Amino acid sequence: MEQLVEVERVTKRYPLDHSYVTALEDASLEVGRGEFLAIAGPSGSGKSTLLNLVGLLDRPTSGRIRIAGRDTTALNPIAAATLRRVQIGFVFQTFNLIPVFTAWENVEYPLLLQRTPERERRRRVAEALENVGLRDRASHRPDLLSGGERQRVAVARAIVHRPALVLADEPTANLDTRTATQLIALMHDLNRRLGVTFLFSTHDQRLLDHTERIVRLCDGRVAEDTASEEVSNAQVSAVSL
Amino acid sequence: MFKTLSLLMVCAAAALAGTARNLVPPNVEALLQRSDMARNGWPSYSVRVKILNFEDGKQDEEHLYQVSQKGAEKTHVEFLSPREKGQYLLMLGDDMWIYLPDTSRPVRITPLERLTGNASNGDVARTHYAIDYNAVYLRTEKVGATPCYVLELSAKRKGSTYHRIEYWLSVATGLPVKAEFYLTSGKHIKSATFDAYQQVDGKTLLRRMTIYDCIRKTSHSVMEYSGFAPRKFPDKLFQQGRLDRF
Amino acid sequence: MRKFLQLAFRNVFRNKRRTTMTLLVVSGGVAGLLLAGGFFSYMFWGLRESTIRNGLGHLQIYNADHFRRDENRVLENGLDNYRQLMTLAAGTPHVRGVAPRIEFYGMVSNGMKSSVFMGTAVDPAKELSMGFLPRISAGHYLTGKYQGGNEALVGAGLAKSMSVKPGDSLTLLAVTADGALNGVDIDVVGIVTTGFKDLDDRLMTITLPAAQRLLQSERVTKLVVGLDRTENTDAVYSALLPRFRGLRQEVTIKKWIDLATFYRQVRLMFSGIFLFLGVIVFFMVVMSSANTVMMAMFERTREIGTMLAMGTPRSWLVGLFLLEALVTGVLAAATGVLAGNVLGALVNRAGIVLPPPPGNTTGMSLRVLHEPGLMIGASLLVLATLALASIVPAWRASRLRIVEALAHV
Repeated sequence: MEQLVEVERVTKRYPLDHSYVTALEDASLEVGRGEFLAIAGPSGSGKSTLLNLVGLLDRPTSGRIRIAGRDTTALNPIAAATLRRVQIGFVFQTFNLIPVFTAWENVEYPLLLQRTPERERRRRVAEALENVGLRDRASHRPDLLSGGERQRVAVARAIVHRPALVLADEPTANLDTRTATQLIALMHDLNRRLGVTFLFSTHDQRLLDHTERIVRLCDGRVAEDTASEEVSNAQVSAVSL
Repeated sequence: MFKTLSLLMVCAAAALAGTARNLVPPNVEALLQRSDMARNGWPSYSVRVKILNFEDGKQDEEHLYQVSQKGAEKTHVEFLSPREKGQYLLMLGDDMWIYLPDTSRPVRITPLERLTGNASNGDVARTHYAIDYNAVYLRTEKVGATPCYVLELSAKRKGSTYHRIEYWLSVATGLPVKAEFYLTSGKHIKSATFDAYQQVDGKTLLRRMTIYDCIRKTSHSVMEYSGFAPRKFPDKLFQQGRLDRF
Repeated sequence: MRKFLQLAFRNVFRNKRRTTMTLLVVSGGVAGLLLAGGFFSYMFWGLRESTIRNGLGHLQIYNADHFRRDENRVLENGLDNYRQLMTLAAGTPHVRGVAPRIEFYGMVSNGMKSSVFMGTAVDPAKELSMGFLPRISAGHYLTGKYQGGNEALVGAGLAKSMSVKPGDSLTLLAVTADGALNGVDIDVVGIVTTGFKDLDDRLMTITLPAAQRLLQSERVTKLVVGLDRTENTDAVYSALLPRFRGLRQEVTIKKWIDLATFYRQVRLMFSGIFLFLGVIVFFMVVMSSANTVMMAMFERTREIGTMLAMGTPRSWLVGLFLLEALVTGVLAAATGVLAGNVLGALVNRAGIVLPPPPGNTTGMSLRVLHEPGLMIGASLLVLATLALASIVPAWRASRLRIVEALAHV
């Protein structure tokens, strides 16, 4: 079976003064459908860059990235946007919710982009909010929600359109440890129930305990790629939302 | 030595005597008065004036006037043409009026305003230049074959018709030959030629003169004088109030 | 899509204080334009009607030669058989009346002093029936039934220079249609003040029969047509043209607007001033909103990046910003129109009178007219201006690089 994501010897350089900075050097990675994996490493190791490239937010200097077999590096910006719209969901460190929209409307946004009919939209948004346990807070604006709740709304937004892949760049960096752990558990739960592939980055070692696969980056290179052997169902179900 | 000196003196005297007549300016006052006499033969007189106006050589109808002059300060001009019957002009000193039939008061006019054609009111009613103008001798020159004194006349009275006149008077006879008329602005508006003279009672009087428009060059007027005769007039004729012809 | 409209709407009110400032400036501009424009409209209307009512009439009928060559003699280019022409015109719908007029000039004398006058000869009954009554400061208007003489109205300046008052008499001197001199005595029955010194110094109005006797002619200079409403001028003009075609003498009809040079000049001048005001408002709006819009974009950089990351087409973003500008514009325009109307009503209630302009003797009252066209125009102006002011920031926002935008503070 083909892999969902294929990162093939990707390098990313940024020009800086008269020379350049290398954010990623010759990185390669394969992610199968339904996987739940973490990109770990210290800051400056290239985690965000890798996620940005996979998420088609940026283009590699050299190398290739394939999503569901499709070479994405050659896509023009409009085609890339269309792909992102349908196949990818994002969760950001800073939540990035639209402040003038309620939780419901924020979650609804990706469906508006795809011009989903209203009844279908209602059903899906309700379901997504249900999945993250925030159905009763749907009519609140972000400024009335706690950090953890905001991030859960973001997660709902990221999955509402059933993308193939969810990319979360340091989703727990602005949360306290308990909330962070809960969030990771939530994402893990969604991954198992809905079959959505999750790729998230973190520098917090504590969150990696229950992750099956960890890819470690160091100075822009893939240092280590493991598959965690722990079956974490018990841990996850113990974490209540 | 004395012989040479006396010869020189004789030559000098002869030379002086030869140019005497040209060097000595004429008595302009006397000249001007004499020329006025050619247009006004007696202190108190009447004359009939016929004015013909020409436009592009074509003549329109003639206008007839009876001019009664008492001294240089009082003039009464009666309009004799059929269409103008009943109108008359009165000059008293510096003032001039026109009287119209069926109206109860006159209308004040100026000597420069048109009487008919190119003839101003003053050209008919106010012809004593010696009274109205200061004269200065300019030069002597020929007009055609006639040598003339050229005088410059400048208005000295409120009621003078023109601001400035250049006047050519015959050296031999003192009669007016030509005149050029100028406005206050300096604009040259009219010129006149004094074409013919007649003998009346031993006096040489003007018979015909022509006035030319210097702005509209196709226009001119001919004034013919006849019936010159001395007359005595009562002052009543020249009163400002409403009065029909006497 | 409705949701985007809601988004635009909510974004406008994100920063209440900033939006209020913009609204104040823009609606102030709109209100200002409405007040100025309304005042100008009132002025134009007043000037138009007073010009027409002061004797210009709505239409004037002349002999066609009047405009082709100058007259050498008075009434050389006048109208023959004017009574027949009057009947032709009077039968047309919307025509209130037709008044014959003679225009001439001559000298006027009080016995001691002469002066030039500009004369008009009228049929008093016809003039009154059309409301062409000049301002009489002493005495009364021409009666048309004056016994034993010729009645006349004299302009205030001329009356003063001739030292006459109602009851006194003067002599008029004029050149007839044949070129001869003629004179008539007139009795002053009234003194006229037009408000224009230059006219008052020369005005002399007598009756038509008196002028025809003085000038020895049966002609008139023109016929003045008065209508029920000024708005009907073009319609009546079109109706009259065929009626006057093919007559023995060729006739030209002029509309009041062709003859009212002063009105046209005033109108042109004030239209220019209004245009200038519009330009000022334009710049005012641009200055105040451009900065605001840029600041708002700057603050929303991360949000814009997020929307782009989620796959929002860049064109939708531009559309969103333009929509926000339009929402602001509509709100500001509505507020401005409301404010303008309220302030206008207040000004009208106040009944202020302005000092008289040069050459006039009376001042004008300060009133503002209600002009729907003006309201729409001013609103469109600010809408367009706001849209224009937001185009550049909108375009630049849509051109943001997603990664940089997301990394923004």
